[in-house]
Amino acid sequence: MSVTIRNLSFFRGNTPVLQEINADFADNSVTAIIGGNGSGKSTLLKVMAGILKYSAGSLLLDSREVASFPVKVLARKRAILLQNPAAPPELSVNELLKLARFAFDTGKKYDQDVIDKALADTGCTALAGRRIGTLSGGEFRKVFLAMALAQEPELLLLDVVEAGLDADFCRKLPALLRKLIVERHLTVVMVMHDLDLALHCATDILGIADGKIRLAVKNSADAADQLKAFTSGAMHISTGPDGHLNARLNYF
Amino acid sequence: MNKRITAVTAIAVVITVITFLFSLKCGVWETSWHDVQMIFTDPENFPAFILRQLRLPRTLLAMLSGAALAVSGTILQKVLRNDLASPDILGVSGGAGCAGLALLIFFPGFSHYLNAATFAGAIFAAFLIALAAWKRTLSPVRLILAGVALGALFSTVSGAMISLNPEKISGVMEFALGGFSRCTMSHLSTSLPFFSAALLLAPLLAARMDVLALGKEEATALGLPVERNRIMALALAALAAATAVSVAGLLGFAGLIAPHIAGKLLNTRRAMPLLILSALTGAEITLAADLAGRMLFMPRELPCGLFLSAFGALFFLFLLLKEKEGEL
Repeated sequence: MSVTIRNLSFFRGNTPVLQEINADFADNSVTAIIGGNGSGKSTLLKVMAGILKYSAGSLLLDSREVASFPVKVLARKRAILLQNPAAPPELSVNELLKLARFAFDTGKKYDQDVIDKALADTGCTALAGRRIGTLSGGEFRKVFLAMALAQEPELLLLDVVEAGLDADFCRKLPALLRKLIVERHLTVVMVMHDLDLALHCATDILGIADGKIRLAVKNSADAADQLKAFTSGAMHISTGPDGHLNARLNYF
Repeated sequence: MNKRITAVTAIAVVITVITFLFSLKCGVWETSWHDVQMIFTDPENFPAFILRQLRLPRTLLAMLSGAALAVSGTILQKVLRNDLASPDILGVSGGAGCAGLALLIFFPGFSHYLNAATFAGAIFAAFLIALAAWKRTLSPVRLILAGVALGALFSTVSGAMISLNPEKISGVMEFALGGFSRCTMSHLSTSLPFFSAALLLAPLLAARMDVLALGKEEATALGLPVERNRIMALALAALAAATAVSVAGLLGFAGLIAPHIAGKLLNTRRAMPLLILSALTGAEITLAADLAGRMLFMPRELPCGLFLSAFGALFFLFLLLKEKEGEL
């Protein structure tokens, strides 16, 4: 699914949170949104998900305005992993994932297959019978990632997917995203704080500061200087032997 | 998991049926099992006729009221995502109390409209609280706070009416504690459509309630129009509780405790099994409390509400203490 954002603004009360956003997200692309705390990244993601209503401008999903979609139809097209999801602790993981199929009329058997696949893709198969309240913080996040996948989205929005996840899972994230794209041609947009992981997952990088887009680059060796400048030198950007960019914190 | 739900629900049905039969048989006026049987086989026969006119409506109304309050409480606790939510916070008790008292004190000649007045008061109060809580959107926390504040206001007005008119409130006690001793066939026939609507519509909302329990943003992400469904669920909860309160007086405690008892017995949070067992639990404890009120201090009769609070609280404490550490 392609997403086109034109002159989009979002106000909380009278405070502008997003101003004059212009961006394009193509089929099969993975865009990482980076930026400091409070810069408007999560708000942009929620606006793209149709959870928050933007104040001005336009946001098109496959050339149809997002606000014109009924919520139920939207739920069959896009899924979002929120930054702080919540669920009743007594619910089992499988019961929770069934709720991801709320908007679908695809039948119990098909739904369960989708759920099982989402659990397998995220390495959560063994958690299916567990209660939410017994999960660790990282397991909890993985289960909600599985929940987003169980909506079979064409547009997958992830808010700091790496938060709380162990190194092994992060290491496999680029491969997981590639696999999902090959299988379903989905568009991925993810807010990330780990720039190195972002550089290994994403095809495009979008930098936000003060609610405005300050950086929009393809993920290639040419972007090194712009990335360094965007992070005000907080990150050390280097080019690996394969031409890929790497990033690490610049402590000095 | 599902076995446990089936087993517990089946046991609850059996217990409720047994209590139902005892409620028909037992009371100040001694009857035999044969008389009870006659209600269904030969209803025109003398003792059966009396049972049918008096004890049957009372028994059915106790069950329906208990079930309706329990369903109301279950909906509220799920939709408002708060374990302490009960029909009282929608102001149904306070509003019903005010309206009932006002009728008894200022229009004593119209006291036969008590049920209609309390129903109207309950619905009006729920509407008022929703209005006070509304600010661009219906936030659960605002609703609870507005409910508590307006509830306090309602009890102040009720208190003032009682204090200023101490001589006119003889019939108020039973209403305030909650009970079924005045219930007749006509109460049953007027309230039955409302009870049926509330109890039959609630399961239709079960799947949505599960999604609503994840919070507004997640529910929207999963494809549920949150605002509309919250209002629908709350209106249904208000209807169920208002109907119960108009028949039984202020029995709100059943609405708080029955969903918790059901939740502990089933060890689940899924709305559908919870609604069913909680309705059965509400019906059962209310009926048992009414029966105890009739039997324990014969020939004196104590209001059902007294025993309901006592039984409900004790049974729930028992479940709470029995719970193993770390059990989920």
